[in-house]
Parts: sequence; C-alpha cells; structure tokens
Amino acid sequence: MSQISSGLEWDMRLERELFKHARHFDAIEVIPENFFFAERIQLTESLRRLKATKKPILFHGVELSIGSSEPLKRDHLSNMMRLMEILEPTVYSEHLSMTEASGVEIGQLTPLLWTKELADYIAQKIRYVQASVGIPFLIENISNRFVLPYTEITETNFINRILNSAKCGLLLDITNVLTNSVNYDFDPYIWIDALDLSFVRQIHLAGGARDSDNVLEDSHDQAVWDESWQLYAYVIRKLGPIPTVIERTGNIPQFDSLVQEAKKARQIQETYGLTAMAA
Amino acid sequence: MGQAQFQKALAMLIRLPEHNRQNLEQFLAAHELSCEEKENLRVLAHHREVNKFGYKMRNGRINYILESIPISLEYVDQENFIDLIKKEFDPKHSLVYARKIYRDFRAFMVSLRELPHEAWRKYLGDPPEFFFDLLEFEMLDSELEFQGFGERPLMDQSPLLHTSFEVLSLEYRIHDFVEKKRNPLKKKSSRILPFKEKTSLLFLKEGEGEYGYQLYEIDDVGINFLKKSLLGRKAKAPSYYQDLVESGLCK
Repeated sequence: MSQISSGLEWDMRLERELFKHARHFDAIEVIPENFFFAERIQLTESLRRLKATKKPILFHGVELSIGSSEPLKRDHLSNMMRLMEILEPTVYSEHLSMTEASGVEIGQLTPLLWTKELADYIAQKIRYVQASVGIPFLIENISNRFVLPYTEITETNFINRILNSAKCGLLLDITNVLTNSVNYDFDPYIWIDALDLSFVRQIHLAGGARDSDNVLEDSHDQAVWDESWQLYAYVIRKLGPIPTVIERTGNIPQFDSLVQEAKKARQIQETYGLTAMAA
Repeated sequence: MGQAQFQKALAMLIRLPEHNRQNLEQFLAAHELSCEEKENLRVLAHHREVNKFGYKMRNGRINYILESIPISLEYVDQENFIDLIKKEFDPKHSLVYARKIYRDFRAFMVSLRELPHEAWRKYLGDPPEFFFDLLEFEMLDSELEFQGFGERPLMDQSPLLHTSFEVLSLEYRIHDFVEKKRNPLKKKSSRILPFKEKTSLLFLKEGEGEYGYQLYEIDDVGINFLKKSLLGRKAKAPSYYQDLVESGLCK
C-alpha cells in the first residue's frame, strides 16, 4: 500500500460496486469471520473475487476476544491463518475488547477492565499472535458501552502499556474516540495527545447516531462526522499520512458518496500529512 | 474486582432472567455463590450501563431476535438475513451479532456432522421455531450425504452426539428428512422443546394445519415414550405452543 492511502470495508451488499470502482480507492478491509463457516474456511465466490481485485487486503477481526482473561482462542487464530493463506492480507487488526466472557458468547465488542495486569496479559497474547501470523498486527480502540468503576489506569495508559510491551501497531478509530468523548464527557484532543501515537499504523473513520437513551453510538450507518474529519486532520498533522479506512456497514448510501469520503481522507493526508513529514 | 471476576459476573448477569434481575437479592440468597461473587454481581447489576448491556446480551436475545422475524427459506442468505435482523431489532447494535447468528446458523446447516457439541446444545436446548426448516433446506440443498443412513446411522458415526435428547432430536429429523424424500409434497415439520427435568416434548406438525405432540422421558438409560397426541387443527403452531406454556405443561 502506498503511504497515502484510503480504503473501504467489504460488505456483501457493496460487493458489486466495490469491485466495479476499485480504482478509486487503495485497499479493501475485510472482516475475516464473515468467511468462517462451520469452523472452516470455504473458498466462496466472494473470496475469489476479492483476491482478483489485486488490492491490498486488510484483515479486521471481530471475534478473537483478545481482551478476555481466558487463554488465546487458538482454533480461531488457526482459521484466521488459513484465510490469510488465501487472501494474503497486508495487516491484521483486532478490537481491544472481549466478545466472550466465562464461556458466554457476548456477541458484542465489550469493554475491558483497565488494569496493568490485564494489559500485560493481553500483550503476552499479542506477542503469540504476531509470531504466528507473520504480518503486522494492530489493536483498535473501541467505543465503550460502559466504563467500570474498578479501572486501575486510564484507557490511554492501558493502550500505551500494551503497545509498548507487545510492540504491535495501533489502529486508531477516530470515531470511537469522539463517541467516547461525548458519552463520557472528555476532550478527545487531550485523549489523543495522551496516546503514544508512534504506534499508529492505520486509522478508521465512520459515522454514528444517538440511541433511544441519547447515547452516541459508533454504528457505522452515517456519513463520517465533521468532528471526526477535524480530529482526523489533527492526527494526520502530527503523524503524516496514515492508511485510512472508511467504515460503512449500515444504511448504505450511493456508492459514490463512500468513494468521495475515501478521496477526502486522501486529500487530508496530502494536505496535512506531507507538511507534517516535511517538518 | 479483576478482569476474570468481572467476566464471571458479566456472564452471570447476561444469563440472568428478567425476574431474577428484578429480584436480585432473592436470587443471590437462593444460590450458592461466594460473598465476592455476590458482591460483583450486585455491582454490575446496579451499574446502569452494564445492566442495560447485560440485558441486551442475555442468551434469550438470540431467540427473541429470531422468533420475532418472519423468516422463511427465501431469507437464507447473508444479505437478507442481516438486513432483516437490523430492521427488526436494534439496528444500531446488531451488526456484529447478526453476522454471528448468521454464521452460527450457516455453520449448523452446512456442516451438521462437524458441528461442535456446544453448538448442538445451544440450539437443541431451545430451538427457534424455524430451526428445522432451515436445517431441512440446507440438508436438501447442500447435498449432504445421507444415503448411508440406513446401514450406518449418523448418530453412531458422530462422537458429538452424547445425550439421549440429541439422539432423539436427530432421530426425528432424519425420519422427517427421509419421509420428505419419499414424499416431497407432504408437508411435515416439527420442533422439540425441553420439558421439565429430563423430559422432552416433541412438537409435531402433521399435514396442513394439524398439530400434536409426543412426550418422552429421558433418563440415563434411554428414551421412554410417554404419550402422543394429535390435538387437531389449529390456526397457528405458535399459539398452540403458547397454550402449552400457559397450561404449565411446557416450561
């Protein structure tokens, strides 16, 4: 992938348009679990078509549950690696969350208790994953549906501790930062500044909506918020160009508007990122 | 509370039925939990966001989602399935969940023989109404090799089927499948529900609009047939099921 780049997320509903307009963006993000069937990988037509695009493929896993206090789900990782052999992704990211708790499949990205002990345990699991997959591995900050009172350290310290210990990358989800900042009333710019940005390897942008309790959600069903673009530009000014993916999985608009968002991410990288690099 | 304790308490909270949630102290008094476990569960249950999250994620939600959707065979593809779930239930939260549900079903349908035991239990413990229809569709559609069934029953081939209940379920399914193969025009479907302790209620749908049940007692030795009854014609199977629930026959 070139240094300035923007991509879109694969979705079955978007597939035809995605492949048709592939020249307008640089990479395709894939949720690998969408291709897991019955604990095995099936070489579906979608997989064949994805491979045929020759675009860099970015894996974005949703079910490794790397934040759980249980041991790593090695069978799940094995499936992931089998799919990697087929699609040859350039990077593999997972959410810094859990989707299983004590044998219960939660089915949602669930926040963790931010403690040093857990950070160290997650870093240990990440080291194993990195050694296994052989491609860059990233963790992504999530939008927190709740924050527990028993946290020992801040979220940014928790993330930094994992990054520095595991030496993995960070997939910085700008919209998740904004979502949390609104729901928990903090300054997203200060949050970003507290993060060790040297680990950022990829960025996510999306839009969301408020639920019935007026809680902001990272629901991926709206255009990217203006505030997200502003925070994105702030990060790019600091870091230079970073591969960026627009996430849109609900309320799917005309494909052209997604292409425009991908182009806008490229423009911001060109405008602010190159300046940052020169400085 | 550490992460492990948090997970344990969250798992309990997710499993907790609504009436226990409303009367938490009563539930805690009636269950043998350590003081720490009780306190952790209290903390999560009294935490507004966590409690709300636990409520949404409780196991029953899967069935609630599925049963609230008028699903039929035409919806058995990922695009429609996810759209349906999003449309019918909590569109802002359910995408990952919908993917998972779809994949679980697909896994079940496509690869019956390889399905992990846990997944069997998950579904057979409380099968959604259209469960067997989906299974049947996939069995017919994916050309699973059931030809050897007569000489070598599938249940004997599979180390995954451990309980009488599972054998019973599969037995009936295969019977139904064979019947359907013999006479494709005959409409026949069924579902099995857990019935009290060690007892299963096998729902039958015989022909168009006729409903009945078979009652089996399951013990360590095997299956004892207790009762069979055809209750005549009913407008809808779900209302018949509701009648049984209300009568206390079916838990």
